Amino acid sequence: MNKSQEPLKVVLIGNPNTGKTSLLNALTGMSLHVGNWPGKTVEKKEGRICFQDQSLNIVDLPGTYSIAPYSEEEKVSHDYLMTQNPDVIVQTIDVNALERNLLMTMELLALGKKIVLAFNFNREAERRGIKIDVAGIRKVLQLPVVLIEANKGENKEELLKEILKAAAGEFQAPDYLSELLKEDYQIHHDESVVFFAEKLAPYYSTEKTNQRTERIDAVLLNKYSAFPIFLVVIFLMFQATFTFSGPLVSIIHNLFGWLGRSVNVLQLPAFLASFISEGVIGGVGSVLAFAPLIFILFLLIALLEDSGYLGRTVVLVDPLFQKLGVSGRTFIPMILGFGCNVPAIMATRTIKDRRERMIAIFTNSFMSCGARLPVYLLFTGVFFPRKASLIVMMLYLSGILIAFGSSWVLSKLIKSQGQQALIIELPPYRMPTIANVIKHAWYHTKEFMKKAGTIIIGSVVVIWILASLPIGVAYGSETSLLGRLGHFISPVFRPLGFGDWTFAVALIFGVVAKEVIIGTLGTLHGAGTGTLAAAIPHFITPLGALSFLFFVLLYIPCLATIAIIRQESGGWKYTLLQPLFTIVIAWLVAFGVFHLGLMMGFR
Amino acid sequence: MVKCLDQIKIGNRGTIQAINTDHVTKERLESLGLIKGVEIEVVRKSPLGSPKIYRCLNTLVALRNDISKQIQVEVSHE
Repeated sequence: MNKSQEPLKVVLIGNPNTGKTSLLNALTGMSLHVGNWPGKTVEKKEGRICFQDQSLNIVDLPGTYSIAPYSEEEKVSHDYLMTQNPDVIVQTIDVNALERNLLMTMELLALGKKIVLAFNFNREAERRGIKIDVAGIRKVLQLPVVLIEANKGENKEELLKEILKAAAGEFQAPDYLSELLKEDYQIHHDESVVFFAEKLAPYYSTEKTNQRTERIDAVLLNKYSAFPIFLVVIFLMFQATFTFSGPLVSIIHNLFGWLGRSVNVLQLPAFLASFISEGVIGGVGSVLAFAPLIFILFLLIALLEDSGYLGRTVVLVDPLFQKLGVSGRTFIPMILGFGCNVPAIMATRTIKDRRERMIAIFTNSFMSCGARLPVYLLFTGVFFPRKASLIVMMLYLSGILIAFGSSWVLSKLIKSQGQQALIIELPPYRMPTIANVIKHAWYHTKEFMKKAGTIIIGSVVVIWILASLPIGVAYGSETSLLGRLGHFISPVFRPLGFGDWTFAVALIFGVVAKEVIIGTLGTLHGAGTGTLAAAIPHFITPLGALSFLFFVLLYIPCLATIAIIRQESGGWKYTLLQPLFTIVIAWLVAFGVFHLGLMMGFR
Repeated sequence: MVKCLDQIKIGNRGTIQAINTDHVTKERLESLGLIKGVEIEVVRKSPLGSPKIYRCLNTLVALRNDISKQIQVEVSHE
């Protein structure tokens, strides 16, 4: 083949847990670009490299066990292979489960594609005593095979050479392929397995099971130790995400607060100065403040995933979630919601079933995030000083119950394709590599800032405009557009026991970020939490306050959460339905609390 | 003796005879190595009793009973 200007289209494919991401990182280095497949919620990674004067465009297809187009991931792979005509397919193969991996190889051959097989985890196989005769396997399969160690980037030159060689040649179907095909070009799975077993037997033996994985499972899935260890892991994960990121988040907050104040130095017209400090700097700051959280969380998720433990956590809690019509995969994102719904919703990426993932995204904001706690503490402190912790606990529990209830309802409403099954591989335990884990975290952080960031900054600016117009009004005051809006909608909240217009304005600001609710009420009632505590009982009864807290727990999530719902659900449908759904639920529950309380003689 | 997979005791093995699930589920099971004619071992129960963990083609797979009861296995004598 002539050396052409056109880059070679190389596609990377493989079963999950075969080291595909490591290989991609090793091949593409810093040129890696992460995005989404158009209109899909599936990640698309690609990178361009140059090898022996030939440029190669490497596209990573999602890790799947098959390319029969049933799931969203499989559809992406299938459609790409059918329409984009890649020059060469590289399939990563875990040699420890060679026969299973080869099933997909047969599917790829059936499509008439040129394939290079990258055998990975050879050291592990050697340690386990698995016998592999590559020359023999090559001869049987009639395909190029390269032994790699993806984690360490070993033999990637040799792999690239094989890719170029394959690209230069013509596709030749191995002569065994026709025997394994059905009429419709699907693969006979049972005959393929028999074929491998017979032909590969002299060159490949898998007598031994993975002893290390057995030993670790004996502890981590043991009747007595499984749950204590699980709880410790979850606790550490939660602590690490929200504690380690704490100082960084406050540094960012302080920095942007300082930046906002230093705008005054420029002596700009008040209107412009306020736009820059509150709107622009405030908006950018609120996006950046999420970055440390998301980075640390994804670092930990990558650790859980790459080590093999994530699948075990799903198995541990699955029976509880099966009753709600979902699976154990829902658990970790749900728990993370107590810290912050934004990274929690990003964590739903570990849920492979689209229907289940949408349910998890939709209900996550009912998990009471950390930003709502200050609101609870202030109000319970003022109105129920003796029962504060009881009421806060009740709020958290109500959030969980409502999340469970709505999961159950949604699981009945959203149709699933095929049986709602939990079929999950428990991969061998492996040591994660630091470089992969950090890259994983970094790409997700970058993606969040790019995508969700624009929506967040945009909406912060809109709220700022509403709070500052007409020109000359005090920010967010009664005469501003926002104040008038508050007046306009406050009758809606009267039946809930908090009809004063200031609560309506505070709730609108609360959509920007929940912790702003207190600040807003403070400003509107003459500044400071101290004075707020004294002032607030004039505007609301204790029962109204309780109803207000339930409303704050359940109503529209913050803008960052809405932005992340848009990003993760891949469309506006759920993004618009979710706030609508939550505000209706919030209104109904607050109404119930208020009127039940009235009937019981509280006020 | 042919049994449903959910009835087989921990530690026992057998050969898969038939998978009677819907088509999509069957494809999924097969791509993970649960294929007619393949040996399957019941490795362990998860602590709450479900799902159970099976080994097939050197791969550990967790299945709930609602799936495993639709898989027929010829139990080997051990």
